Amino acid sequence: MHASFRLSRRQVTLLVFLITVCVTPFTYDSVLLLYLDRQAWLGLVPALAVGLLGCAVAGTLAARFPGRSIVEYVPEILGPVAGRAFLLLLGLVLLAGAPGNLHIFARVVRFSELPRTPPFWIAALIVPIVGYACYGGPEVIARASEVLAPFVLLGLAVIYFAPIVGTVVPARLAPTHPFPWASYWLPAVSSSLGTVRGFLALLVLGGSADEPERLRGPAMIATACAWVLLALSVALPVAVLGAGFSAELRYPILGVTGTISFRWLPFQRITAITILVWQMLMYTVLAFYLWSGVLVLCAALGIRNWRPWLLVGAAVAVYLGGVPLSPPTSRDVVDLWNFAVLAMGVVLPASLLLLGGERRRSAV
Amino acid sequence: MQDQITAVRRACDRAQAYITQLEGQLPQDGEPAALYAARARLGSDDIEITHVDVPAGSPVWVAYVRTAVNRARLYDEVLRPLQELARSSVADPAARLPLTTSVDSTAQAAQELAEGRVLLVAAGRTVAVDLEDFPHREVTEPSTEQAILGSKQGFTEDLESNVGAIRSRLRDPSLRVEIFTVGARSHTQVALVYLGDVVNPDLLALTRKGIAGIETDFIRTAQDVTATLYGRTLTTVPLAEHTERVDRAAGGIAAGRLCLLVNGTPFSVLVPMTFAETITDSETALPGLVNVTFVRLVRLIGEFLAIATPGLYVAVLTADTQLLPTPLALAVAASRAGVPYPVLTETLGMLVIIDVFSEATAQAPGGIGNALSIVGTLIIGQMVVQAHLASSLMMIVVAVSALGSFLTLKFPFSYTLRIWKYPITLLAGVGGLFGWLGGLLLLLTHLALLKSAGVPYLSPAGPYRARSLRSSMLTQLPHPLQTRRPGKWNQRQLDRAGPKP
Repeated sequence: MHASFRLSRRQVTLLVFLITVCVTPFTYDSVLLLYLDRQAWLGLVPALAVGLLGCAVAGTLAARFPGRSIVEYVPEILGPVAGRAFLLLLGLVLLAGAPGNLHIFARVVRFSELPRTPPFWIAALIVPIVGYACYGGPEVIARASEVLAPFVLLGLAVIYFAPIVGTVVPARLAPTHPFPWASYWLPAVSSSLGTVRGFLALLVLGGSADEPERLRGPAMIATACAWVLLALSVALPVAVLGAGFSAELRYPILGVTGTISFRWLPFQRITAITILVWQMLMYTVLAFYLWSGVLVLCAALGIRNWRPWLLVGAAVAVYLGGVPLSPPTSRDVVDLWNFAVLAMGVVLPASLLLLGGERRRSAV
Repeated sequence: MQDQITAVRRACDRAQAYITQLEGQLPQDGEPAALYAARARLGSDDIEITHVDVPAGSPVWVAYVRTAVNRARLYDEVLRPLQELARSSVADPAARLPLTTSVDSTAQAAQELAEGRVLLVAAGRTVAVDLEDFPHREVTEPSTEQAILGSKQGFTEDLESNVGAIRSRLRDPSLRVEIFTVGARSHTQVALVYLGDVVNPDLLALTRKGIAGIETDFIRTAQDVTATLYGRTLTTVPLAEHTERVDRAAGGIAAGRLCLLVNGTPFSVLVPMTFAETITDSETALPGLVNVTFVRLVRLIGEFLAIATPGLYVAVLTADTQLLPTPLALAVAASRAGVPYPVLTETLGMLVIIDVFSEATAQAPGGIGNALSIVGTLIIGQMVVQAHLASSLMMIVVAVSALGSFLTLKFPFSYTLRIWKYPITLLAGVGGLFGWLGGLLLLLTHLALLKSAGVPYLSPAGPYRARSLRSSMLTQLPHPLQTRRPGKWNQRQLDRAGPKP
């Protein structure tokens, strides 16, 4: 058995939420601002639609194959050869999530806290910790995430709602063009369509959850809630700093948190809280991508014991996470990965759903 | 005297011949050879062999270990009745004694003597009478778990009185006591105490199997048993809860946990154990839910401070100085003026010194321990600051950390806190706040990975169980108001008013 794990419905939903809410504020806000100016937050609307669709597909697959993970039911639907090919591609997409996210996060940490430390060393510090969680499997990742969740939510509340008191100018968010604003969305599609990607957790873990038939709704709600926070992360810099100034910043959300100071806290700025919150989020997200990527790749290659291969996955993540890329190249890589996520996380699973239903009907 | 010794030696030799000849079968010819055989097997000088003459037949021979038997009871309950029976010409007086066990082999005879029983040989039969009286301590107040408003009854080294103490608090017909003998030489008795209709049957089966599989010659404390059953040798985290308090043990059993009592160990072991047990206990007698919640939160914060404060100090002063408000940054700089080495070295050095003092204070006898703590806190601390070996702020940080580590209710867990602050501080020195949180995440991962007898260590926070978290970790209703047991231990029956067998 490749995947003998059992998660609760609540744990899977939490992972969907945390994976969705994680990286966008440090990657897409500046991109969206570049394309869409003050209406950047509208650019995330198509991403929400895709995210909800992904949840619906993954949730339906989980309900259709209860008690089994994706590595077990895909070969049943597609046959051994096509099934393995599918798992190979999906594994690569999932594994790529670890260095991709690490690459972004290491630069954020370097920018805000450790300016003299190379990103490679930052990646090398966090990956062993994450790898230790992966060694325990998804239950350990989920348990640790459950403990972290209240602190993450509290931190997000401070980051997103503290600026609202006093410094926000809502008028700055009003679209300059009239409804239906479709002209804004098209340029943003390539950059934002794959940003709401919590459905990947549902796709990999859904079948192994308790009551998988009741997962779809909570996962969609979690996605929608996370999307609100994403939209806030894009809208806040505009509302606080103005669209023009925000677009010039490398990390607009850090620009916003840099303006907030609580005199009663021992920290002068809440930038530190922002980084700590994202480090907690990154722990869950990296652990999920590393574990799921290694698991699915091992299943595709017929390797039964995936644990030793975590070392290889972790080494790849540290190496690629530390590779220096220019911002445009980095953006192209992220765009490419986004499309891969869409293809492997939504389009092909939807085909699986249709194919699985068709086979079931013909069997009947 | 010399003649007696020679006679005894001859008898021993004769007994050894019997042993060899009969291959372990006890000689039953009415002579004391059986007793000498047992004594030869034990080879101890504190074994007494005597006899009571019976006019109607052969004498009744009596053997016992002088240091293990209550001699007043021996006279009252065995020797005097035997003499009276002998005067009334009863053929087999030993058969008239109550509560005797038949002894069939030399090995059994030796074992019975070693366990403090009195052997009687009469009319071709050997029987054992339980008059064991090993020295044991009276019930005293628990020394490591003191409760201001709780019970003062603690366990002692005597297994039977410990089981009795639990029975006195749980007079339930479904209370089960299973006794095992462990240790090839120590023959230590281990009691499993649980509620038969509540405890998780998988846990029970695992424990029974584990105890049956213990292969050792000597059991010194309960820790030897639990380490074999539930321990993971590479973790610093205690996976079984040791408690000196009878009310705590009885409460744990009532909640559906399994209690292990080991003869010679003055505390019980409750399994499973979760992190919540390190902050929950003796405040249950406090009035009002708010008080209980407050006390538990203070303990939780204390544990966090113990483990995180030194690392946070290092992180903020090495990599993230810009985070501090300017007045605080100036105060810190003034405090560190003259300290000749980096913050990380200063912190690690002080942490080692404070741990040395903690251990010295814990190991030293009462009066000296108090003197040591005064020397450590007042004199050495002040001297260190005056000599510019550490800043005054550093002293506050290590003091907070040390105090926090003693807020945990489970003494072994304080070692977890004390040990883990080192890697966290080290990571903070390497990576600032990023490294500090990395260290905390490493500890969290380690705790998330652990299971105590199949139950996740972070339960009920992870996996999240809302009802258990409310009722057994953050606060606690008085027992009459608790209609359900906290479900985190996978018990068979959660309803406290559930059906009885």
